[in-house]
Amino acid sequence: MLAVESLQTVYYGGGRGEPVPAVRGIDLHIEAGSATALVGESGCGKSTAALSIMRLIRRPIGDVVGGSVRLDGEELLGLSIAGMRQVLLNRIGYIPQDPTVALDPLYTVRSQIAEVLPPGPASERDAVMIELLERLGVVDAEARLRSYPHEFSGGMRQRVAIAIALAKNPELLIADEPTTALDVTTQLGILRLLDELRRERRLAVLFVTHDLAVARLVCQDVAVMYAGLVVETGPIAEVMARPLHPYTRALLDADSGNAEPLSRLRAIPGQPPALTALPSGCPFAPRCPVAEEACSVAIPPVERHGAVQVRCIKAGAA
Amino acid sequence: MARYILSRLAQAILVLFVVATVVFGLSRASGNAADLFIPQDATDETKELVRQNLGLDKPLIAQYGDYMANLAQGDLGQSFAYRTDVRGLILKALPNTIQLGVTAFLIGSFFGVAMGVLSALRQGTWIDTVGKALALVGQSVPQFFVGILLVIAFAVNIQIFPPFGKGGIQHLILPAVTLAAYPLASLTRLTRSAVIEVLRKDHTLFEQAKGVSAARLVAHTLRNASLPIVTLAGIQLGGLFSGAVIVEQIFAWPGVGQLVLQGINSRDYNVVQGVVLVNTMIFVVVLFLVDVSYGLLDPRVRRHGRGVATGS
Ligand SMILES: Nc1ncnc2c1ncn2[C@@H]1O[C@H](COP(=O)(O)OP(=O)(O)OP(=O)(O)O)[C@@H](O)[C@H]1O
Ligand SMILES: [Mg+2]
Repeated sequence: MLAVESLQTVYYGGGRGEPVPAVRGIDLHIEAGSATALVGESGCGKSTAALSIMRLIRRPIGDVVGGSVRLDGEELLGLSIAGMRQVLLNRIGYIPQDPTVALDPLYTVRSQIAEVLPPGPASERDAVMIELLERLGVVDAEARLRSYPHEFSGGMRQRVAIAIALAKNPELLIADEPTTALDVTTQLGILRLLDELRRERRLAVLFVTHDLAVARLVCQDVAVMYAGLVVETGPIAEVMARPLHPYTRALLDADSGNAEPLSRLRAIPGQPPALTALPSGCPFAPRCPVAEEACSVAIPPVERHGAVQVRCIKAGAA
Repeated sequence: MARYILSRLAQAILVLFVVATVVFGLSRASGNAADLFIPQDATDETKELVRQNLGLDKPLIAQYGDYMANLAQGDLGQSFAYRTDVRGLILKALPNTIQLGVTAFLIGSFFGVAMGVLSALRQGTWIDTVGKALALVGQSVPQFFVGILLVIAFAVNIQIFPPFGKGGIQHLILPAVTLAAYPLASLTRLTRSAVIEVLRKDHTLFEQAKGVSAARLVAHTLRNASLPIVTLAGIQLGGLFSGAVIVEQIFAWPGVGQLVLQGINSRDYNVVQGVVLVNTMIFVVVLFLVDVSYGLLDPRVRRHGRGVATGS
C-alpha cells in the first residue's frame, strides 16, 4: 500500500539557508487495513516525515532530497505538482496535529468540506456531508454546516478535519497526533472512531504520536524515530514486549510511570542532538547506557531480528 | 450583520460631530473671528455691524447652535476671497480631486497588491528582491520629487504626456501616478508580509494537504491576508484626498488641494474650514466602508461587532 524507502528531507533553516537534515533515510511499509505508529520524542522528525510523504515540504522552507514514496506502486516523488494535487485530493487523507488552527476561520464548515467532494448537485453534496458528520458524532449536522470554525469546540473541529480527510474516500490516512490537543474523553472517542474507520474502509493509517500507550490502542505496527532515523520497527506487541533498541527500551521505561505522556518522555536523561550538529555514528550513543566506541564510528545498519528491524550494533544487549 | 453596520454608522456620525465641534472650537479660540474679515481701519460701527451679520455678538453656545444647524444643511459659510458660498467652491473642485484620488487609488491598490502577492509567492527570488527594493524607494522618495522626475521623463524628454493642467485622460496619468507612488509602495510591503504570514499558518498547510486547486488556495490565502490590506488601502484612500495638495500644486490640477492652498494664503478661513470638514467626512465614510467590508470578510468580526478600522 504505502512503501517509503530511504526518505530524506532537509529544511533550509540553517544560516544562509544551509540545508539541515530532519529526516535522514527512513523506511515505512503500511498495508491496507493496518495502522503503523510513528513514535519518538518531540523534534525527531515525525511531522516532517508525514508531510514529506504528502510532498508538502517544499522550497523555500525545505525539500525532500532523496528516497522513494510509493502509493499502490505509484512513485509520488516523481509526480508534477498537479499530479500530486490529484493524489492528495483523492487518495490521501490528512488529520492535523492541532484542529483549533487547521480550519480556515473565514469559511463555513460546508465550504471547507465541499472542497474535497467531487462536483455534483448541492443537495447531494450536502447529504454526503451531513451523513459523514453524523457518523463522526456531530449532532444537528445539517445546521452545523453553516457554522464557522470558531463556533465549534476543539473536539468538534477535529471531527470536521476528520470529515474532510474521509470525504475523499482515501486509501491512506495520515494522522499527526490527532488527539494531543484534546481533552482525555474526547481523545478516546476520536481514537475509537479512527480504529473503526480503519477496519470499515480498509484504510492504511500512519499514526504519528508521542504516546506509546495511545499507539498500542490503535496500531498494529510501530516505527520508533530518533534524530531523523527509524531506529526500530516491527509489530507493536512484539516491540513493546521485547524492545531491541536501547532507545525503545528507555521510551518504554519512561512510559511505565503514570505521569503525563509528555513528561514521561522527558524522563530519559540527556537531550536529542541538534540537527545542525549530528554525531557521525549512532545518534543515540551520547545518551545510551550500553554505548561503546564502535557505536560512534558509523550509523548502525538495519539488522533483522525476526519481524523486527533495528539500527543498533548491540541490539538486545542489556 | 445589520446590527454591526448600525453600530459602525453611529460611530461614524459621532466622529463627524466631534470633528465639527473641534473645528468650531479652534476657529473661536484662534482669536476674534471678525478681525479676520474686517479691515484694520474700519470704524467701530462697521465692526459691530459685521459682528452682528456674522452672528458673532451672540453667546458662544448660540453661535455653536447656528454653526451646527448650518452644517447640518450643508451650509459651509461664505468665502471672502471669492465672495460666494464655500459649498459651491468645494463642489466645483471636489470632482477633480476625486477623479485624481480614485485613479491614483486604483493604480496603487491594483499594482501594490499584485506586486505584494507576487513577491510573497516568489519569496527569496529576484522578483521578490526587485519588489522589495521598489517598495522601499516608493515609500522613501518624497512626492514632489517623484512628480518632477515623471515630468522630466515623460513630459520633457519623451513628450507623451502634458506636464500640467487638466483635460483629457493624458492629463490625468502623471499626477495620478505621482499620487499613487506612496500607497502603491506601502501596499506592496504590507501585502507581501500579510501573505507570507498567512502562508505560514496551519490552515494553509491543511488546505494544501486537501489537494484543492491552486486557484482555491490563492483565494483562501488572499481572503485571509485581506483584512490588514483592506484597512491600509482604506486609510490610503482617505489620505489621498488630503494628500493631493502637493500633487495638485505641481501639476496645476484644479482640485480641492489648490482651493485650500489659496484659502490659506488669502486667510479665507471658511474655505479652509470647509475643506477640512469635507476631507474628514470622506475619511469617515471610507473607514465606515472598511468596517463594513471587514464584517463581510471575517465572520468573527461580524459576530463580536468589533470594527478594526475605527477601533474599539
Ligand atoms: N520549518 C522548519 N524550518 C526549519 N526547521 C524545522 C522546520 N520545521 C521543523 N523543523 C525542525 O525539524 C525537526 C523535526 O521537526 P518535526 O516537526 O518533524 O518534529 P516532530 O517529531 O513532529 O516533533 P513534535 O513531536 O514536537 O511535533 C525539528 O528539529 C525542528 O526544529
Ligand atoms: Mg510534529
